[in-house]
Amino acid sequence: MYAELHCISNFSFLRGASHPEELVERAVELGYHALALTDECSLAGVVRAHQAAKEHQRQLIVGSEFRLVDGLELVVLATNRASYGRLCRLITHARRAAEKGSYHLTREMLAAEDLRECLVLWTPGVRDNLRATGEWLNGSFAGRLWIAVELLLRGDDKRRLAALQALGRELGIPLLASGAVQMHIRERRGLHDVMTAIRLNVPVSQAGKALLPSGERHLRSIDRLQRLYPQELIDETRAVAARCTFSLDELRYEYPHELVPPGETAAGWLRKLTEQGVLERWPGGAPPRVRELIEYELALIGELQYEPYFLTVHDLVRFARSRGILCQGRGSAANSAVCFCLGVTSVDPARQEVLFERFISRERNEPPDIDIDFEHERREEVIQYVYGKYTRERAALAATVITYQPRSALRDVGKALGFDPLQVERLARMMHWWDGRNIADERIRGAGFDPANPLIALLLGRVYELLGFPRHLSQHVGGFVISQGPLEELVPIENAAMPDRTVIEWDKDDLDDLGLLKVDVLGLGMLTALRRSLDMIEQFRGQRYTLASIPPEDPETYRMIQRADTVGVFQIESRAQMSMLPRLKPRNFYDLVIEVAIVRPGPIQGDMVHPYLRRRNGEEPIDYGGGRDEGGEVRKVLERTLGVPIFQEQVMQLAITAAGFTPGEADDLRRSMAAWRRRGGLEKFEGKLYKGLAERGYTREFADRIFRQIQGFGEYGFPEAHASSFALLAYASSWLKCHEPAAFTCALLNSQPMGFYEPAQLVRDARTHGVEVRAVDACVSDWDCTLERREDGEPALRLGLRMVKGLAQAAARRLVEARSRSPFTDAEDLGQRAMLGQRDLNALADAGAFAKLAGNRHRAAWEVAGVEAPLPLPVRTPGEGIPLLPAPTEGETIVADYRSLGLSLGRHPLALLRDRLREQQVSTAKELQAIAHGARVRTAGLVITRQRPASASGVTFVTLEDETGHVNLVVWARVAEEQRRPFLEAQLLEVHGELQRQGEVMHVIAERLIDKTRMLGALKTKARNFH
Amino acid sequence: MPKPAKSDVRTLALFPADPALPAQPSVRELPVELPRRKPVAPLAPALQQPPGSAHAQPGKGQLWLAIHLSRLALESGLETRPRDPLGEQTLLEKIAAWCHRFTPVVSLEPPDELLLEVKGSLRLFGGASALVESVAAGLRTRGIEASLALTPTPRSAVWLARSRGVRRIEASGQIEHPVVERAEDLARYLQPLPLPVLRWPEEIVQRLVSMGVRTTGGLLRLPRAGLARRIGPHCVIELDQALGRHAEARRRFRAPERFDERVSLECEIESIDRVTRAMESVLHRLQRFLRVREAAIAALMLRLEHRAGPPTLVRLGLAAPTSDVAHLHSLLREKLSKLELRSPVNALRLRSSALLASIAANARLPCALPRQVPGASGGFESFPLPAANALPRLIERLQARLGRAGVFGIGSLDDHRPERAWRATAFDGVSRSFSPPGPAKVFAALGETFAGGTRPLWLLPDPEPIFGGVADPRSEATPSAGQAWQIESGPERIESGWWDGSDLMRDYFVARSPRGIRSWVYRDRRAPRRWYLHGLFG
Repeated sequence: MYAELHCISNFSFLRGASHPEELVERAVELGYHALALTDECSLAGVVRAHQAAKEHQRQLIVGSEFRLVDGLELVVLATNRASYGRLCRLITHARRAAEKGSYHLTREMLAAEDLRECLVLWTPGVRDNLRATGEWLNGSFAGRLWIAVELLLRGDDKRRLAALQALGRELGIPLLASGAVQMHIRERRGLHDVMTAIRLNVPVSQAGKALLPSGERHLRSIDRLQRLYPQELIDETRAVAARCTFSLDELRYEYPHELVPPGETAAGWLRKLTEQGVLERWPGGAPPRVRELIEYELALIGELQYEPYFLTVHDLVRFARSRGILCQGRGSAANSAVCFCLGVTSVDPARQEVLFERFISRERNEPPDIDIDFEHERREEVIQYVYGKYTRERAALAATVITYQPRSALRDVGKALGFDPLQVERLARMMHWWDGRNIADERIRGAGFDPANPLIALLLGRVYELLGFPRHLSQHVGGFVISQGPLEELVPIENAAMPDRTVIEWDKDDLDDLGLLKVDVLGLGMLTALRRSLDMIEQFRGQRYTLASIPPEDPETYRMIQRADTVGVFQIESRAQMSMLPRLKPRNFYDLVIEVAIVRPGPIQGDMVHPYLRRRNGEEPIDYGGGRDEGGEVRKVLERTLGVPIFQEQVMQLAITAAGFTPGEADDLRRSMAAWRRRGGLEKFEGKLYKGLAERGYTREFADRIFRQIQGFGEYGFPEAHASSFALLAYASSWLKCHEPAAFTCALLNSQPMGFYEPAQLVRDARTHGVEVRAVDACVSDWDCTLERREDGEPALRLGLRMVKGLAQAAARRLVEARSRSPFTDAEDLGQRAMLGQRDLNALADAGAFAKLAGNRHRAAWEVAGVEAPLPLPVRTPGEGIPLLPAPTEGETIVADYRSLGLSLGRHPLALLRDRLREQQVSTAKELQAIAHGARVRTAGLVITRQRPASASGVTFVTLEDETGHVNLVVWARVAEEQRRPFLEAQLLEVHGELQRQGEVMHVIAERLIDKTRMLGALKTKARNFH
Repeated sequence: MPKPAKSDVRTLALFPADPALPAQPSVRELPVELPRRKPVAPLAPALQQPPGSAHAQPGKGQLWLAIHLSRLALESGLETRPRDPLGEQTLLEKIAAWCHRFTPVVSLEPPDELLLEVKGSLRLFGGASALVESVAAGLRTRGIEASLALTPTPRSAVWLARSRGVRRIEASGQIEHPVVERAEDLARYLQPLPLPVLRWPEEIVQRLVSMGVRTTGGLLRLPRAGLARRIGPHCVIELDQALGRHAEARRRFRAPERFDERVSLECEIESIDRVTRAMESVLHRLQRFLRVREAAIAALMLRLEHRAGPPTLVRLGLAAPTSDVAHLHSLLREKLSKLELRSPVNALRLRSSALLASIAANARLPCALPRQVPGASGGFESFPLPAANALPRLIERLQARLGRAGVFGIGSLDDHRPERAWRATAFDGVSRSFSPPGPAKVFAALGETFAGGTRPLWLLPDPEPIFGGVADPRSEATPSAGQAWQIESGPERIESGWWDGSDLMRDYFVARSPRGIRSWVYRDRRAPRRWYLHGLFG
């Protein structure tokens, strides 16, 4: 029996050509006694291998191979928990001593490491001074050092074996057999060659001897190994494997202790904090229902010993609040009564119907799931707080494994196979329209290639193999692991691309698999905008609102939402959401929760949307899938959504109550849902689901819908808890838009980039809602947009200097400061006193910010071009002749506005082109309102959004804007592909198509697309002809 | 064709490898410091003139004709090609050479313009308009799209010609070439020109546009001092130059020199021998020509004209530039000796490539005193050669006799597959580019030991099947002596090459043939798993 002790996976990036799981499965098939996964200075793949080995009840040995700076190659294996910790530390040290993605290890560093109880395999190279190296190694690792003999049919195997045997005898080092494995089967040889070429950045044909000479580095059959190696070398592998008793299951996570003050227990402290919260939230005492919930939740938390987790989350939220950073938790556990009391969420338990007992599942014994969103611009403060409080030794970000996607795989393989870079780019660009894992033949043909061509077949073959391979580790957006002990003894830590960031080598799924706990610290732009709005309102009106105290269930706000008048608000501003709003007509908070969740791939693919709408409008009776629902369990699950499952939890519960899954199985199903797009594996649930539903009398059609919905959830699974957190932000932002549009728009502008719309649309929308917007002015504007008090006491929105393209923030700060000392007299004065360079002055002149100081843009440009570089002492140049400059025309002004500010307070550009458009029978957005369903129409406008929802099977929604409003286009995939250039490139798009109406919703189904962008340029031409 | 990268020329086929010989003859390896190899145009005659005359003198009473080559295809976006500066330069030079028929004063304005000073030629061509028309007509017949303008200053001529180009594209009608003979009229013509015509830095144009200035006229309306302060004095000077308020000089263009001589023979020659002799006097003049200019050449074309039929061309490309005419002579003789005359020769023409700076510094070396070479036909001067020249000379001579493809080098290639681990390399000292030779008749002679197994020096061009097979070394059965092949060592497994359609899967062994020859054999790992002989150890 044999144990392979030197084997790398594709987590040795671009070196190993098999997934860890594949290696384990193949080793099991071949009857290996054990397998060591020894990726190069990395443990990034071990969790996956561990899971696979566990499934097959086979031993997995954790190890890592190293190549020292002097060329010495070693494999280090962990025997027990302590030696595993030392191996992690060794990897951490080697990784942290080098740039991201590489490592640095010398003999001195190795000698300084504590590697007690680790086993070492030496793979002697040709150039080593074998004797000296052997003696050196023997000095440090005597009794746990082996020479790994790797016979790979290089032509001199016999000689090599004999030489190593002599060396072993001489130095007293035992020998063992090893395969130096880099792939699970020999058929990966081609992929291995491609990866080598990618790594070296040359075509395969020029990689030469850098490629493997043969495919021998695969897991070989025991039979062949026995013919190649003396039996004692094979037996030795077993002996080594027997010494490695460590399993990743031994890792136990310890929560940080410091959150509990001395003399308190975790449970007691959590209760204290919760009770404090109750007093704040309900000064008169919590309602009985809530009190009951709190007691229930605390009991459950206590039973599972999750108090430290809630305390950790509470600590972050407390910190954020002390700094005035707006935040909100989401996730199943976040919307609990306890979290409401702790201030983690603002969703009042009284305002929603989530069933709390599922917020942590007893059966799953899985850490609770809470993500906390912070203001995106201030998330870094929270991150630094975490590092500061727990130190880098105890806190690090989780990794995200970046894997090959169709586009990157095509690019890299194409390059490796020597395709012309332009050709590859053309192919890769077709992957724009990627859906699922297949690269459709039409795409290949679309890029001008013949899918039947052998070279293309070769290319695609390798691309399919490479898809899903890890490419590098990146940092997770905000998933923190915090531990009581040093983290580097739990998992290796390496440098991230960002300075001052470190990541652990495992990703979220790995952490989940091992039951380790993480806290997600995420950034959300809307929180920034909301906090700014609330600040401005307080400043302007003296009234402070919070997320929890914004007046709930305001009818006026809901009326606005029902009109889909939601440009700029959270979540429900997208095209798809907007077209749903007039149909769903949300009337209360729970309707918003449904609205947020229903326009998602799951419900859309599961065809849940229309049944729900019909039932809501009373056009269809409410039923529960037609099954025998003894005890009304299913009814209980689906009642609040009228019998239509919309949330992820409902589907899980259905699997249990209606299809007979155990809770454990339902949970497996949930995990598979998240991963099936990448790994597949839903099939095993499919049969069970259908059978279970059929047995209980549910209709086939109901079962189909459920299964499609499960598929649709895929990576976008949307739990009710998330939906209610989002709905709260949607409501808060809608309320602000409805009642404080100036402050809200101002905050949005100051928080850009975010959301679906550009500043131009936000400003236009604000103006149609009666907000007075004032131009950027060097004599008045601050860096941010601000509110100015009008004569009637209402706010007007003053655009800030941040809107000016090309103006440095530091320059703007100097300007504001100089102005605060005394007002500017002219452009020269401004330039001198604010110490502005030509670039900044030009930027201001282009933006029209000198209107008061210098007159029109042309005069301003002339003035600032004459401003000398700032001198220590202002030197006034003598007067010059007056320049004869033409005044800018309206067209020029608008074009300059757009160029410099991205928006114009003047007329819409299309208003100027309207006469010419009318000659071409182009209708305005407003005129379209009066045209009947089914009519053929022509319209044109600025393209403001192109949106292609993953769920919409190839449809792209394009929104055009003209001076009268918006037109929504539906562009089918065929049209988009046939008319790609205008479709993708036009800024001003003319469309011929068919007008369609569904109730209040109107679309134009695009047939012909014409790029009219040149007409925008013609504004200038025309303007020039005017003078 | 894969790029032959990462290979090094190891040995020359048919030659013993001599590490003392440089693999590539190179100027830099000569023992004395020499001028860099670069074209020396304009050559000596131009330089011998007083410096001022190389330039057209600015002054009154000039008239400049600008030729702006149209880029219609590029402008209209029908087709975009990467720019080719060398091609542009060549085209300009060709046109300039042709323009010399109108005036001696031609100046190149890369990338796409030429200037001709034509004041002195007006009478000859019948006035300004007629001259412009005949230049335009001449260019048209040569298939060159261009717009022209004739004005008193070079800069205004160029601007106007350019602007006509622009107008032409917009209207795509026939164009009239502007002719402005009086400086007073210039301002009127220049006023409507859009700013891009001036080809000022984009940043300056942008700045002007932001002031609402879009034409030259707009510029002229601004206060001069203020303008100079804002866009820099250079631009204002250019304006003045265009208007004739400021003088401007242009560099005169002269065509690069080459030797080109044609000799009509008094009587027709029918024997090669006599052609060779007739050639000698021309070669003498070539030698003088090169010596005066301290120049060398890299190629020579001999053209034999016949009474009837197309001329015979003899092209001589050299491994390294030379000014040694004796060497050229012997090479030509070598070439001619293999020639068969189809009909009698009545004229011959010898034309060199463009001149290069001479590498024949040997003339100045103390050890290289000219001496008569006894027996050398025609008594050419010849010099002892540095050793570095011996190899290229030998190659040139062999190539002259065996044809270029008949002599080649061998390079090792970076590939696991034995048959792809070498290649033939052409030997061409001038271009140094790789050109594939004809069918290889030479065994690979690589003595490289790879990590692992040993490889033989001699590879068969195609592996030969071994009938009767080879005893499988891994089976216990001992092959009977004298009959079967005997495995000595191995296997070395080679599996590589799927990407170019010749994927190998072989196990190589060192084996003795039944006749005792140490050989390199392999077993194909694919069915029917046959054995092949692939190489022989020495």
